[in-house]
Amino acid sequence: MRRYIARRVLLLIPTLLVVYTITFVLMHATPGGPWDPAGDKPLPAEVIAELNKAYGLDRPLYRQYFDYLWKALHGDFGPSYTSRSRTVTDIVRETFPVSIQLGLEGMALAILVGIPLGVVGALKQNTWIDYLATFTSIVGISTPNFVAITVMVLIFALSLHWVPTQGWDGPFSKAAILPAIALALGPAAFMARYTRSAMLDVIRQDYIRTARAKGLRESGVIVRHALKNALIPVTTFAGLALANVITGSFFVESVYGVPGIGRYFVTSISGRDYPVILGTILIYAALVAVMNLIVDVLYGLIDPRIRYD
Amino acid sequence: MTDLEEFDIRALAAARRDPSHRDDTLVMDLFAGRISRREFVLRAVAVGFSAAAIGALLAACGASATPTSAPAATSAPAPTAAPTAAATTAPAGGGAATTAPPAATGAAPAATGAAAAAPTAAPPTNLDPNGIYIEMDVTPTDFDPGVTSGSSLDETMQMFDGLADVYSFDQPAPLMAEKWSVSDDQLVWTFNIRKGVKWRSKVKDWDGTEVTAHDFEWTWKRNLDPATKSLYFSTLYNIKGAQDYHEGKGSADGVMVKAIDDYTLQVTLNEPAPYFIRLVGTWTYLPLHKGTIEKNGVKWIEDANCVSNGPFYLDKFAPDTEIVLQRNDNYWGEKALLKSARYIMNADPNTNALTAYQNNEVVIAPVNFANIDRVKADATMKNELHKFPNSGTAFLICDTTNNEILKNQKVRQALYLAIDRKTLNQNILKGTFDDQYADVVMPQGIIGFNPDAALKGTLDDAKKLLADAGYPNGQGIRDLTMSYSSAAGYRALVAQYLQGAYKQLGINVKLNPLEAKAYADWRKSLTTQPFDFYLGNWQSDYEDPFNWYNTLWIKAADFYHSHWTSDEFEQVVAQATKATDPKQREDLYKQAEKLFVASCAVIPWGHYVLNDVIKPWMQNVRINRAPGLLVLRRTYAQKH
Repeated sequence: MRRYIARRVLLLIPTLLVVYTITFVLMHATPGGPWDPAGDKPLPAEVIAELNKAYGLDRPLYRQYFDYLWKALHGDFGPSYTSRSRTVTDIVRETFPVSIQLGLEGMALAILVGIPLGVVGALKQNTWIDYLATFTSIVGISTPNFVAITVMVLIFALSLHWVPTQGWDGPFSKAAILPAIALALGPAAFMARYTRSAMLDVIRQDYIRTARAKGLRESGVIVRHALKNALIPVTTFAGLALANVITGSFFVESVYGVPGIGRYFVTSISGRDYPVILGTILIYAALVAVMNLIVDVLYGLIDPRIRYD
Repeated sequence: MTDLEEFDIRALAAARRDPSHRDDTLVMDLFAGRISRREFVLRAVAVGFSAAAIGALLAACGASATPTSAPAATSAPAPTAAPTAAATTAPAGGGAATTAPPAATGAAPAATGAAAAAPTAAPPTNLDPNGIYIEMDVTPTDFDPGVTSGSSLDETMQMFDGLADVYSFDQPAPLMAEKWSVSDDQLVWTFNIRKGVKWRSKVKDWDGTEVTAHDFEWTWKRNLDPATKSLYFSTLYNIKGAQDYHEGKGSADGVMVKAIDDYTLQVTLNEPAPYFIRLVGTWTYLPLHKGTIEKNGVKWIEDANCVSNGPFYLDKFAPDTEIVLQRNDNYWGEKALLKSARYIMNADPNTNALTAYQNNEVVIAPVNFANIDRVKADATMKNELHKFPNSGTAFLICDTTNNEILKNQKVRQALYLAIDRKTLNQNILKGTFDDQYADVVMPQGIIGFNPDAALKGTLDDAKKLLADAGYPNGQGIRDLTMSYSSAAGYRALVAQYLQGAYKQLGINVKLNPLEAKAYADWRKSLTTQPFDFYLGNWQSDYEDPFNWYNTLWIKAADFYHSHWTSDEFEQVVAQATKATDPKQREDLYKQAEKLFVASCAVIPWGHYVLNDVIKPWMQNVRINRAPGLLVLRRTYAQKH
């Protein structure tokens, strides 16, 4: 197992390198640069040339590629071109924790709601309960989270005044409720579907019949035997969903004014803020890779049939 | 003279019908007693009121027909008398009296003297001393006033005072400079800096130190320094030696801005520039604190390091969450009436602010064509909708040289006439743009504004022009491509409207929306690449024709790459630039406008107007015309 983990960690390096290269190439291939304002007052060409020179953007691309890589390996991800007083590290340090907190809340909610929903659907298959659970899942999957949050804001904030219409006051404040729910919708629905089909598969297995025959209470059968095995496919999904949700949803954060990192994924691209683009994408890639590794390791722990060497 | 009964209503109405009636706020200030008669005369002359109108208005205001404390009686240097030169007659009790102005230049009153203090607004009613202003804004991109090209000004402009206040009123008023004067050759400007203005900062060593002329000199040179990487250094190029210094051909000492002593700043320009007084109120000219910039570098803008001299100071700078300003209680002048101003950071205030407004989380929200219907349908909000005129024009730019079809002026004029501006602005854009005078390029409020420059004609006239040009019913015209940036939603609507309008002429138009930066990139290529036409707009940095004609349209600028010019046009603008007599300058720019509009190189379709909903307890919310800044100096909240 340990050799497996070591091998996977080492594999992270070429993975990230490939991601870095592809991002770098795409970034510079996209028309437009960091200094063209989005409005209608373009800067004179001389000003743009000067700024490019000052930030080293006039050097040949391969030089920029290696320079940035070298600096990044030493922890310097560069300044933000659009927010001059901050470096990429500053931005990540200030916004990433918020996204992590919100993401974890969303995932917790998704798990607490999705898995029971799936279990119930499986156990009461083809009854009205199942149909209701399925319907709810499909609504959750199909509704884009920015639609969900807009509707929720209109109902719960504007009409009922239970929560504010936007803002962030810490993970345990009223302001965290709506964005956490909006972020949880998709993953909860997927987990409900996955759990349901996995459960349906598992409860038809022989060992479940054995457990029942042994005289175990139904709840014991379900939770201690069936669920544990049904969770294997769900774990895969949960790991990736967590990576997604932690890096923040651009829409939810924008609509609700949550100061997370999700917004920077998109604004850095539309603003052509190269260091922030590279920084955010590398973080995302690293997170996904690490989550994948964790999930694979968890497999080995959950499912005794799986062996790594 | 504040009692309404005291003035002659009929005379007032008659004066307002005078075609030179330019600025109703000025008239209202006079009648409400907010400004003195002398101040009114100085400013009315600068704006372009005719002598007759001034006399009539003063007469309507009651008391003697001839203004008493006429400018002749001013203190100090001859320049103060100068502004009267424009109208020549009025103030000096009706006589011709126009000696050539010894100094002072056109539009702006050269020196206002200590006596003419900035006009004050009506006293606040039911003031809440702890009033807070809350707005939703995008995260600032360049918070440093010396660096920014015009973004993120909402917050910084409350924190710093420049030489002149160009945002609170229509005319520049003294601020850090108590008075200013110009030399005979109109090249040397001398500013007398107010004594006793203190910097405000959370750093004890800097808090309470005095702002001097040296701060101005240091800051302007710092903004020109290539190491600062300012985006807007070129706005300082009026100053002699500035360009050489920035390009490395000269030294900082060669930049002709000098602090003669602690309270006198002398600036030498390359050429006469009457609008310079407006420029010095803009953000690149604001004084910054040397100590904090040298110590903290780019981080000087953080709240722990910030040093400022305005009516508000920076209390909290959290660019992902909020920016909070607090009232500066050590401010030298009229203290702000608000306790604090809070800017909530959001990625898209245009979409999200209205919901927060409805929930009373912000006190103001912008209204655009997407949500104006929602506002007008709401019983409360429709009464809270305010319109603010904004100095700017939206237009269609044509390639007049590299294009076999559009190089024909008649074709372009047909395109101009085919636009039904009323329908476009009022129905399609639901009144979020203004169609009044939308048939001329330069907006109202700027000297040289010329509504007579408009071309008149109907759709039939357009068709006839097209036939005259050799394309009856549009036959022979290939498909034309209209490009535009998809950043703001309204452009798609405008493009679709124009596509439909030109279909009526028999012309097929293909639409080409481009992402914001891709559009910026494409536009750069237009110096040489041919194109058909594209949508653009310009909003004034300051209200002077220089910011339009010289900055955008002349051949040397060709800012929008339409490549149009004519010898007559270049000559007229060159003369206007050099003109010292304000009336002559105005006439020349009007002539230029007539030529430019007739060319239809740039076809205007609408003028800017800002729509906002504002909570009824917020008073004196003034969004100034150029460049659309909200000035909080006199804003206050009522108890509610």
